[in-house]
Amino acid sequence: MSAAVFWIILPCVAAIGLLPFLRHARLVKLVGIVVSLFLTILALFQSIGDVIKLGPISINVNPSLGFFGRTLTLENPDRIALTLIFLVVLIYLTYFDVNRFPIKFIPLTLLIAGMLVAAIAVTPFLYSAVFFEIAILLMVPMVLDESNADSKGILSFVVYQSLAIPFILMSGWILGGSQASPSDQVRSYIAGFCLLVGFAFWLAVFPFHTWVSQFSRSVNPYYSGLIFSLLPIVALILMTDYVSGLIWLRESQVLGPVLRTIGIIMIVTSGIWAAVEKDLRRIVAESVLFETGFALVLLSLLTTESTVAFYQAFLPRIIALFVMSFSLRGLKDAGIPLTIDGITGKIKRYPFTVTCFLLALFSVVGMPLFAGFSEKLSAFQFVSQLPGNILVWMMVGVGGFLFSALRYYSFATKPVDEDSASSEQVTQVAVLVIMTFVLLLLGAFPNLLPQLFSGLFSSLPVLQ
Amino acid sequence: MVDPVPRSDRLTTHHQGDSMTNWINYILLFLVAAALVVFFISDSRRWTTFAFAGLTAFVFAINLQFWSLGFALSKLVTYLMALLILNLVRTGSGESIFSESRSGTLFKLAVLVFGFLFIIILGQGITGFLAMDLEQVIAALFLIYTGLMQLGISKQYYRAILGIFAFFMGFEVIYGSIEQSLLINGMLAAIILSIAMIGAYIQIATKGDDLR
Repeated sequence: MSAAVFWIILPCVAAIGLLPFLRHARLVKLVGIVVSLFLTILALFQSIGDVIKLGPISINVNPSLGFFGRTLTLENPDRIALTLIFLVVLIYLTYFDVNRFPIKFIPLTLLIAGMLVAAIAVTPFLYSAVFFEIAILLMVPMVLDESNADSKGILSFVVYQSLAIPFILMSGWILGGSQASPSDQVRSYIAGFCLLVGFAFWLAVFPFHTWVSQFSRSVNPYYSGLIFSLLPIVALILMTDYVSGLIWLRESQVLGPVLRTIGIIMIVTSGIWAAVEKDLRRIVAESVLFETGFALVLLSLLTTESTVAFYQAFLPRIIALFVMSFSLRGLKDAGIPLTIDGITGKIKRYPFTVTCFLLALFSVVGMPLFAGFSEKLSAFQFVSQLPGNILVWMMVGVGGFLFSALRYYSFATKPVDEDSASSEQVTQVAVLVIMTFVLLLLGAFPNLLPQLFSGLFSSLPVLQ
Repeated sequence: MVDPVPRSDRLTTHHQGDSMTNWINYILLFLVAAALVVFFISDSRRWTTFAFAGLTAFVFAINLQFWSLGFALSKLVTYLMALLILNLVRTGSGESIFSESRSGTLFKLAVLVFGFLFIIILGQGITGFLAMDLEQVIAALFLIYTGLMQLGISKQYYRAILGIFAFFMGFEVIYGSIEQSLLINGMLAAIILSIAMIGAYIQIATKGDDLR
């Protein structure tokens, strides 16, 4: 059996199979959790190409599957992406409240996960743009309902993400021609430029980043948390695969500086915007751009150590984003305006929600003892060996975010004259405490992550 | 109409790119430009729809000279279906063709005219790089440019979605000439139709409100 059957066809079949049972919300949620848990564990522990033995039954997990004359190939270096995608799906399905949100979220999330894996798996790679776009289009009915008074952000999201397709497809076509005549450097540079612009749209790189904050305001924080977890990570992994797969690109003298410059611009601009931003949803959106900036800086170094740090940074990012999204969802459900002014003095009534949001923000900043610290420190160490003032610029961005976190803290803890009885639900508190504890655990024991996922980190894409 | 030129021949032969394949294409390009002007500056949903439908027909007439009938027809049908899906939801919009201020209309017209002139100058170089014919390149760039402009200034969801369509139609004129894989073109068609459905869905959800 092919790996694509497990990680692409199974979630899609499960999603379609769940459609007739949407009235049974708890059953749908249970099936969604079981499927995503199974696929996460399978990606984590099952080596592709080996045999799964279940008593007398043995299933050979082949890497490739034919698909209309193309192939869907998943190999061991892809397992880290598979683990992350289905882990995100698992987290968001597990804490999904079937009583408050439309149940269509669950089948659509499984379908989206299947399409994103197909984008990673498909060969030739130019088809990944099409699968990625299908995933994006599936996200719109997921986030859109009649409560969306302002859908401008959703439209911007569709427009910016769709504009990437032509660039990726054109680069694929030009690269096809370049491989026939490798000496034609002009074509290669044009292909590289198209690829870069395509990824800039996908990753919301400056100046194509405006949709991120608009989108975060237009949809429920829980939905935006899922989308901001999945899309940039898959786009970054696709980018890594491209760089790894195209020798002329990874050996190019301009790739590293270009990625680094873009990354630093993203860190600085998102840090500055976060420092002056009053809307908490926009601060979360800026944190996504901030993390993507750091990921690009790590990727630009093109060394084995930086690549490991690049992959290790994904899990803290996912958890921090979940904590922030879940906290905002809780505050929104309580009718609190999601602004700095709106949360003034709210630490009394919502101590866990407000504190967990702050701690997640600290993790994004890279404060010591938090999960994001070790990767941020690695990035600073690598960058400090480079000439120029790169480190100073990165500190400007970090400083902006730190200011934003401290301002949030000062507003949330302001004394106000209102009822101080806690208004939080037990389940909400439990979820936030568990996930924040994971953030602290990963920060306190930075070697925990590499040891747990040693099997995955042993077969990363080669960027040197 | 001239006979369709086999793609392999067109890619291997040197393209001068300095003249049209057929004189009738001057008329077709003029019609494309005229339809784009109406599409861009009109405030009326009805006129915008007619202009876009006309665009698909004129682009089809150009493509037909270079592509197989089935391939060109598939693009025509895709965009007409997308237009139909988008129009299944009727929301409020201006009814007169030029209801904006005169200066606004003139500004939009100037933006288009300068853009088109720039494209005509630029078109020669691109035909050489892509090994395509001049009329397809110019029509494609007209569409891409107008689509992007429409996306940039639209106040209504309907027109913004049509802007995406115009952009994609222009891209597909170029991409269809260089890559005729059935799978990828089929998937692109599916994406266009999906965007149309999402556009209709957004219009329902927002009850035809303008972009804010």
